[in-house]
Amino acid sequence: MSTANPASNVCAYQPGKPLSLSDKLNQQWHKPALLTYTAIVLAHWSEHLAQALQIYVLGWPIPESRGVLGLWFPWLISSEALHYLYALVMLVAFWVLRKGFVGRSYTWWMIAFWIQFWHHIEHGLLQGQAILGQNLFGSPVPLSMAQLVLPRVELHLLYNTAVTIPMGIAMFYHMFPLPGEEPHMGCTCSWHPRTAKA
Amino acid sequence: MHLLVASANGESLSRPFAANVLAWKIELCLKTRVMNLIRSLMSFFLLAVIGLSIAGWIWAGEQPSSKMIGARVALALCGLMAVGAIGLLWSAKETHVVEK
Repeated sequence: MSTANPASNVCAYQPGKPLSLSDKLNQQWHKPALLTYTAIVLAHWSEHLAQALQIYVLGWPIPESRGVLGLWFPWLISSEALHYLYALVMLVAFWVLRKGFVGRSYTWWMIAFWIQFWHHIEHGLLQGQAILGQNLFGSPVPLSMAQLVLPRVELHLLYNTAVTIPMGIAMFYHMFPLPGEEPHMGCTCSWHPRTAKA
Repeated sequence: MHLLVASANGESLSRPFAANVLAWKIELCLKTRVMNLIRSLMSFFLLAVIGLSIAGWIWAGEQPSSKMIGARVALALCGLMAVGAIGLLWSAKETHVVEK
């Protein structure tokens, strides 16, 4: 699939035809859906930032650096299934919410999607090893491809940064679209004073 | 800056030109402030990523060399991407369209 943007991604409204869930999520529900998604992504990020802080600043040993929730629920960190599920949810959300984006915001959204696609493959590999009980290259722990050259904590920071930055840029451009982009948007995400007052 | 001067609705067409210009200036000023607020919040997050990348870079210096190189490569990429993102956010110009 190309990241090239069609003139308008949002399906044209046809009187009498009920909107599908996908249409609603990309039109009237696009804004609340994106806000919910952002909240989930930021919550996940806060755990990664807390973990990095524990390792780099507080000097905790890596196995004991489990973020915030992981201190009380260690399985949150060790569960490959949970990590895979989160990666899958992100991937699905990127795909489902893509039609609400137009122009340069669509391009950035799809860049985030494709990076997340690879990130999800990596988590799939980890999950596969956890299910089979057989790790790649006889490693004592499940290994992803990039983990062959990069340590796990830093690699996850890198993947999350690489996905979140284009996602954030896409949302920013979506909120403040170019004049030529706004007429093609079917949602209420674009900010301007009149909608703010309404 | 892209500017299309027109009216928000039919009523404002009858407004004096100066009033339209003033209304447009107020809206543009408000939009610029909101835009700056949003990108400031995003920049705050990105600065946290940069800060942790720097802290991690220092931490990695105490690790065995095989781990140090990998960790520093990943952290340098994180930091550079965050710097690029800040640059991109703050280079975006505010645009304002008043519908015809």
